[in-house]
Amino acid sequence: MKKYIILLIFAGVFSMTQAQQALTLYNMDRVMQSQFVNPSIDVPYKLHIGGLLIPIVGQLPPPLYFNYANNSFYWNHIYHKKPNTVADTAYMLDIPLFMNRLHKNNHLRFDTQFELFNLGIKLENMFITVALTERFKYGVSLPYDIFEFALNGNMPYMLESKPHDFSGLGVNFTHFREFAVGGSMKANDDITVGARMKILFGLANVTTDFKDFSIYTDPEDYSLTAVTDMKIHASLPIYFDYLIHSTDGHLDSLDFNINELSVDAFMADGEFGAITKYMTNFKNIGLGFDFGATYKFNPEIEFFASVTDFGFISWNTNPQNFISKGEYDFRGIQVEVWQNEDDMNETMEKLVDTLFNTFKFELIETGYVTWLPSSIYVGGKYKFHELLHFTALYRGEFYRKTYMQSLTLGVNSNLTNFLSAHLTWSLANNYAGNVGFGLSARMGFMSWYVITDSFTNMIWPQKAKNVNIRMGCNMVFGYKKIKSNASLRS
Amino acid sequence: MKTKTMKTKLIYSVIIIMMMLTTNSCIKDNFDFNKWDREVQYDASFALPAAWGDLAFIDFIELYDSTGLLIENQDGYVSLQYKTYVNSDTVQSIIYLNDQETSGTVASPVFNFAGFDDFGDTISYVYTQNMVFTMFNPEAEIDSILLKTGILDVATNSTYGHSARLYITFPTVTKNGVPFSKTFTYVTGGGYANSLNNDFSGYKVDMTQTATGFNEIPVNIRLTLYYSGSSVPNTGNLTFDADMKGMRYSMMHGYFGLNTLFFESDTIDINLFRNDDWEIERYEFRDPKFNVYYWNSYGIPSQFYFTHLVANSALDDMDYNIIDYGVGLPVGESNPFDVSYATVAGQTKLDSLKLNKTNSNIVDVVNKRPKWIQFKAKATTNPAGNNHNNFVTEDSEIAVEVVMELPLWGYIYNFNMRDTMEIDVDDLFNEYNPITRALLRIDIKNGFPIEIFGQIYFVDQYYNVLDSIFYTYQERLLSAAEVDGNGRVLDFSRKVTKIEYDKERLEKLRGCKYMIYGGQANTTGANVNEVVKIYSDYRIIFDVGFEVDLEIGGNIDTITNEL
Repeated sequence: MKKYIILLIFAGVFSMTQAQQALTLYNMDRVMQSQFVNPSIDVPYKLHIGGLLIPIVGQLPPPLYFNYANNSFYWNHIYHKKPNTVADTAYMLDIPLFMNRLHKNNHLRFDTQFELFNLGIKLENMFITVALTERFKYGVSLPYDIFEFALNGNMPYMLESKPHDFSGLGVNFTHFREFAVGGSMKANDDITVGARMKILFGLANVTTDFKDFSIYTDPEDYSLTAVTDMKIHASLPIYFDYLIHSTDGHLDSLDFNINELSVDAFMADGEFGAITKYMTNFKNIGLGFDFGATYKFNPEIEFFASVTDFGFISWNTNPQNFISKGEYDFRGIQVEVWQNEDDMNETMEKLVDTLFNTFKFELIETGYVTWLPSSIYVGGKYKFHELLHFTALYRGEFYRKTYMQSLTLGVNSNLTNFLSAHLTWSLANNYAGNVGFGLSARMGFMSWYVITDSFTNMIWPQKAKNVNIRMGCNMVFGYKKIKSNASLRS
Repeated sequence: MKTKTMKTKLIYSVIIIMMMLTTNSCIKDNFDFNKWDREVQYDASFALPAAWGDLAFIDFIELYDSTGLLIENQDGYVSLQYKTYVNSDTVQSIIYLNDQETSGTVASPVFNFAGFDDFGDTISYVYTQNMVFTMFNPEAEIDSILLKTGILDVATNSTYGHSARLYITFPTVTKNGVPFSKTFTYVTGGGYANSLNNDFSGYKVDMTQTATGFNEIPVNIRLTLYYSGSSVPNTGNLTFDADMKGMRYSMMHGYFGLNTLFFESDTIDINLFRNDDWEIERYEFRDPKFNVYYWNSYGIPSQFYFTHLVANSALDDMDYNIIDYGVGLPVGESNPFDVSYATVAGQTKLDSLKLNKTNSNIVDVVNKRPKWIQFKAKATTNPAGNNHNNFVTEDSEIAVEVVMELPLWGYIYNFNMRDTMEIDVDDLFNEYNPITRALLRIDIKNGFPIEIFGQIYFVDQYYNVLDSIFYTYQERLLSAAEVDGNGRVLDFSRKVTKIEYDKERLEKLRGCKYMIYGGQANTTGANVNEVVKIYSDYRIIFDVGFEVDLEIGGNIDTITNEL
């Protein structure tokens, strides 16, 4: 029982925690973490130290990043107050509105990071960073057609002669540790470039890859054609038993259970041993890169661009790949000239067998590779005043066949040597109501930061497509004010 | 001024706090399902396949192969076949072996005792007697028998004072060339000596070695006396009795005489015309046939004849004789049919007699809608008299199959059937029946030259029609496939039928008690007596699917309770 509790705790931790969105942070050059999204950013301190592993400073508050993003709907698209109603029961389920808000693929994504350690050192013409981060990415993707099928039936599509495409269906959970070493330097007076190389240590992964999963209803005879080309990959501390029992080609039964031996082996050294074993797994190695560049167009205008999380992880711990590929045309029960009940039963068995064989998952236990959802950022900054910069940032991310985009406009001000404030408005996750802010305050060598891309969503969670927060504290030394070329206007 | 500023700040603060509280309250409400009006609305439409088939007529032929109802005939098209298979009594009940017996006495006068006066002296008496077999038929003259089973009991008694020995030998009852023989020994003073349950299985009995040359076997007897003392009288006798019992043959040769084989009365039901579930207004079978097949594994010349062969009409319930036009239909003792017979053991001879439209009145009989055909028959052996080439084996038989064949070449006009079924539609009128519309789609590709009209009526308890499945003639019709000049189908005829019920139409069924369903079928051009042929490769392809619209609306608690 204890073993399962531990497993549940793991699952619970994962469920709290999954591509890195940093629309406000991007232009907060006083926060060393901005280098995570643009390694070319010039940080005005000679030395940074932070992370959970640093006593006291690392816990006040813990350096945490959480992001929830939904690209299609928010709560009030499902359940909302009826217009012009004040009754006690003034709320309604609104399926038509919900359906109206859905996109072709609907991604509910989570990303959580805990910074264990970070270090930044300013050298002569270079800024070197080292960071160790615990990262969790998880989410579920639900294609529009799955709701369409369930809520409207298959007839509307049938009348349009188009298939229900469920290939967007998927789940994704990844826990990995990232050890990053980065550096930025001035290439010349106008261009600063930076890069981070990341060694990734995969700890757990469950991911799906549905290249094809569709059901087509023929308007002529209502026959259903199902096509599958699906893969489910898993690499976990434990593994599953997947056994198919069949006789003469007929399916008798199917077993899918957690392998007890793998649980016993995982828990052999007790709970602490299991955690240690899990956290010190170095079998799943990956590599990632972040690149960034900043171009000073003129004293008042800068352009910047970066690519983050370009990388992969090779999963080798208990790798299990469940693969299904087939096509089946279902025309109903095949009526034959049955001579007896046995013949009829045999027809039914053949139907079940064919269905099973169509969707049957073959298990292949070989390692596999997952790619990180990479993001690209492109933007510019207009230094209107030494204390007032306007920024614009475009972000694009490839996530499960969907290209997600956002546009952020920001007002940034390093108000004093110890305080900077940032206000952003983002069109992100297909929602224009994202108002974010960032605040960085330094007291002595302690520098706190709290950032969100959408604080309005925190106030009105029923309208939140995106909940995003990043906070933490760094020890900073050697502040050197970066002179703004717009200071003439001061 | 300062007081006013403080006041203003206080008012703003209160407003902000009130706004925050109000906002917070509103946010909570958004996630409070107690605020839900409990109304749900679900509208969905599904279209799903239910069943399909691609059935060739050959499939039906194979299905009925065991009963032979449908066959692919020698002309390549299909015949309806009604047949019965009968065989005579078993051969072992007609040509059988009775228990046989032989006995004898050897009395002292047959001996010459001169010089029989010292120990070591012996005297013998040898003679042969014939054992006559009683046969199944007084005329039978059996030459040989190969016994499958049988036992021999021999009982003897000696009253001679001298010790003795009896030798009994059947020289023509042999197994592997060795005659059957038994020896009995008697002590001084005589006594009984028996030998029981001697197994005769596998023995060959040759009955041609006596003067008669059949039905007899010789038995050799030898009695030897051994001098037993001067005080022993030279008198006495010896009796013996040999019984052959439980004999069954594997094979028997000879002349079996005149035997009669009876075929019990049998009836062929012609369900096409007999079934009360349907009627046929008019039809024609172009080439009906009545065939009689004989199988004979007796090695005996035989004759077969019907003593009774009639068809009973469904039209007038009269019996009609099936008669031929001189081709030898064996009806009556005076008009027997010489059945071919086996000439070597294990052989089965097939013979047949075929009546058709040209050599019999079978067309007339078929036009009378025969419900059944009934017959009785006999067969007789050796009609030409004595012939010692007869043989039978243990499983010899004469069997007869009588077949009424109706090749599906012709036409059927207004084949119709109708039936009534009680139904309960109360569930359809449940207030929360979520089905607002249902449509049944039947797509049929008809590869048969048969058009079908179908209909279902929904009636109340007084048989008042409330609704019918089809409203128009075209809806009811499944067209026949087109045929060429030879009556062969050229192409499929396709029909898509949709039967739709929405709430309004469903309302018509309120009060429905019975469903009357019926159909009518005609072959292509049957109204003008056009004939068609039904081939085994004719197919019917169908897909059955349905559409259903679901609507669930209202208070979820009420719906849950009512459902």
